[in-house]
Amino acid sequence: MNYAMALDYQNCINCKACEVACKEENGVQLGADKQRIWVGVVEGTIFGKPFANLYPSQCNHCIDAPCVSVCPTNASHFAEGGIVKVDPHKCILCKGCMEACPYDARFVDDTMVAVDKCTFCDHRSLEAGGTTACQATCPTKVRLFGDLDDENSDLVKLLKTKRFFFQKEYTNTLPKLFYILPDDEAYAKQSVSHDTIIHTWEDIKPLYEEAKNRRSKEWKK
Amino acid sequence: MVARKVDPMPAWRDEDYVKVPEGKFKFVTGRHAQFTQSSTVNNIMLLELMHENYLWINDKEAEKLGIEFGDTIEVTSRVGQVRIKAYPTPKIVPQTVFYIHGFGAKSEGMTFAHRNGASDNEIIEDTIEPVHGCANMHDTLVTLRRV
Repeated sequence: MNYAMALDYQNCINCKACEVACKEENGVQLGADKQRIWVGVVEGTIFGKPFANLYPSQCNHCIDAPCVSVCPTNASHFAEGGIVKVDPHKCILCKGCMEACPYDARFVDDTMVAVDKCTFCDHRSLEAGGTTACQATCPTKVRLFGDLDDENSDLVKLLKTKRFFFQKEYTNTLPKLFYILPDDEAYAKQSVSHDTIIHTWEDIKPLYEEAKNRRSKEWKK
Repeated sequence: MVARKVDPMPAWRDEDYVKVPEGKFKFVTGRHAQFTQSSTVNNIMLLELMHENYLWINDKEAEKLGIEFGDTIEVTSRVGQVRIKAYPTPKIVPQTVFYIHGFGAKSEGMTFAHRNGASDNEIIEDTIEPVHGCANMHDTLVTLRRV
């Protein structure tokens, strides 16, 4: 089991249903800066013409997660399938993980007095036929949660047919949010920077399998 | 319909088009994906995503008028007047201003949504489209004043 998510981000319409569904499902603290998941908006102009690119995002559940390495009390840990979680009873609010996270995916939940983050909805998504709240609610089917080890899962089937990239790949944390590159070349160029490395499943699979074998001893069952 | 001098099929009529004189703006309105009609106005989960509306104005025009982000603007039409904060952006064409429908509730019973921004209903003129009978929401001319 190696859980991951693919995001067909060109379908995102910025309705933020995922943000609300996540808060309802997981009882996340209210407040605009208390987000387990979010829609990243990049706005600007090219020669006077405005554009907006939307990158729905959340915790990347990196295989080499810096937030887990930095935690002094083992509150941040790998749960089943490589899902990065926080044990609120062990958290001492040193906030080292919030500094270490390249994606700024963590925040302080004042009601739990602990750092909180996305759990891939592991209370419901790991059951047969289950999925995350953000995937279930998305009206344009942006997200796809699945298992990278299962060659027959919808996720791997999709990754085999598409090209994809990662956010902030230069941090070398092996993130597990796969951003699916749009088939349309013109749109793909508009939404990806020149430095972004485009991957296919064949070239990324050995890297992720090796990393999983190296780190999965730490994963709790 | 022909007897009543109404086009049975939609046709462009130049004389019906509301031209915008210098110094005035055409007001258009619209909706977000987050809010649906009046039932979601007071929903705290949705208001967290966007808790008040802003007046969109072309950034180059705003610079000429000395309007910056967050300035309170008085929007006046023939039928009403509202106050709302400004949001200069290149996403809107010149001579047009926009803010989202469904904000600025008058009722104090709307505890979270009471007067959060401005309501478009207070300034839109009451004209009717002759074929389908809907209100002409995008034909109102307004003037802006920085407060």
